[in-house]
Amino acid sequence: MNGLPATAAAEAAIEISGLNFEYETAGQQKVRALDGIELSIAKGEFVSILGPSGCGKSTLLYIVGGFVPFNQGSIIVEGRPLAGPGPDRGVVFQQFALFPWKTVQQNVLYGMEKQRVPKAERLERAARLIREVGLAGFEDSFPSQLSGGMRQRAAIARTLAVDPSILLMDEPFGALDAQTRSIMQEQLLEIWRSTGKTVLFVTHDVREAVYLSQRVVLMTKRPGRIKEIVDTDFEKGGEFAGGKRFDDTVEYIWNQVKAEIGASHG
Amino acid sequence: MARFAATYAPLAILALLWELVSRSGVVSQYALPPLSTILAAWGDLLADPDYYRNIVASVLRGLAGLSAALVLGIALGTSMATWRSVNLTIGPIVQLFYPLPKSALIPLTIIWFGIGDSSKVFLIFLGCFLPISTATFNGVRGVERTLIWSAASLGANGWARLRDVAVMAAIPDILAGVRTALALTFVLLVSSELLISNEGIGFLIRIYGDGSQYPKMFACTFTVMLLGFLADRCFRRLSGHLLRWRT
Repeated sequence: MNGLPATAAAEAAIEISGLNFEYETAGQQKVRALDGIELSIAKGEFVSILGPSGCGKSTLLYIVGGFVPFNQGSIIVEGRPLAGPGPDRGVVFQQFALFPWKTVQQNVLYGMEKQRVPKAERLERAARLIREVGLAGFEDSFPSQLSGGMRQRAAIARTLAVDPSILLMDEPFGALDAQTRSIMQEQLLEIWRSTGKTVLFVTHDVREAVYLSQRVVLMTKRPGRIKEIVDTDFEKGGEFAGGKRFDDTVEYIWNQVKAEIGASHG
Repeated sequence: MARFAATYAPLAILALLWELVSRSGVVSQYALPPLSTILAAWGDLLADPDYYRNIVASVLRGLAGLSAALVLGIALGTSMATWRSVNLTIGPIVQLFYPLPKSALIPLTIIWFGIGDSSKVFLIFLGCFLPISTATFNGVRGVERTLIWSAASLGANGWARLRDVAVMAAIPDILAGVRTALALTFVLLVSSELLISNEGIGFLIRIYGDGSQYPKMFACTFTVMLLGFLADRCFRRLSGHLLRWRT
């Protein structure tokens, strides 16, 4: 595999340094959610962020997405300082976030319309993507008429339609049943391998993180810091048949996470 | 067929009772003319071009006031939900004027705009504006942030995010506001025309009443009812179409 951690800045897709994030509660108290985050993600790398709930892992993803402004630090995305959301970073949310009033096809077309892709090309690309994610025949269905797995596939097709070089995924398979989830993981790996996109993947599922990614970023409880970055870039037979190294890694990470959850009660 | 009968049987019974009560002399025929007399008077009106002219005048006033309220109400509601400063400036004014029965403004609209179309259109606009802008405000405020974020990451600029996502996601709420506004349109239209005007269906009700032509007055009241019924049907059609994505 090609996804070694970045060594030169030019190779990095995302460079986060000295990132702090604080927010104000309703009672005007300042809460520090992210503290001193340093993370460099290479182009084409698949990195997961894992941590106890409330550790700020989703917030980190939203910050990289440009949706949430941060207080201190710097984020460089493909050589340029982060400035708001943009089609270079495609996002997939746990609850799909499809436009419910648009059909599958209209959802997939939307980003290309905003990018002013010529109409013929738009329609052609939408048809191809819908076919690739296995939704052929459902072009004119509304999201409410689809199952959870189909909705997430439609959301992925919508994101891929604008061809982002980075995919930001916020527990994208968290709302799906086990079988659907496993099929979706395979599809995601296939998309990643065939397109060479950089993937930043937030999850609370240890096996999923180890199975999918090349590196797993472990976070502490609030305020979220990076506790450890675990190299998971080895051959895996499958999520549930990964071999000894796989199982050992999962167990090691799981113990770290448990320690964090324990610490938060201590 | 059975459903048709079930729907219209109560109406038929009511019509029959009306006819009987009026014919029996229990109440004065002036106060409650027999239904058949009213229908005959309605038949006369249907042959009168003046009747249609007045209906058209009322319908156009209603449409104008409601449309203006729709456009400006959605714009204000969206702005208030999007920009804090707009909400802070306009919010208290909206809250102050919301409970005021807009019919109390009829004399004022007459002073400002005279007895013609503009005073009616303005009154209807005032009445419908607040329910629509409030409903839009609530709808836009409740839009899931991930929808807005998705649009942003797909390349939609601020304006496109408002138009394509915030307003679209608020449509169920906006429609609820429009439903209230539609009912208010009829109330304000007829009451302002009844009070002071020179044409319109409310005007007809008044002059037939003043002239003691009660069957025709009733026929015009029925006309308002029919218009209201048709407007509601149109609204349901439209809202069914706009919300077809909901299952």
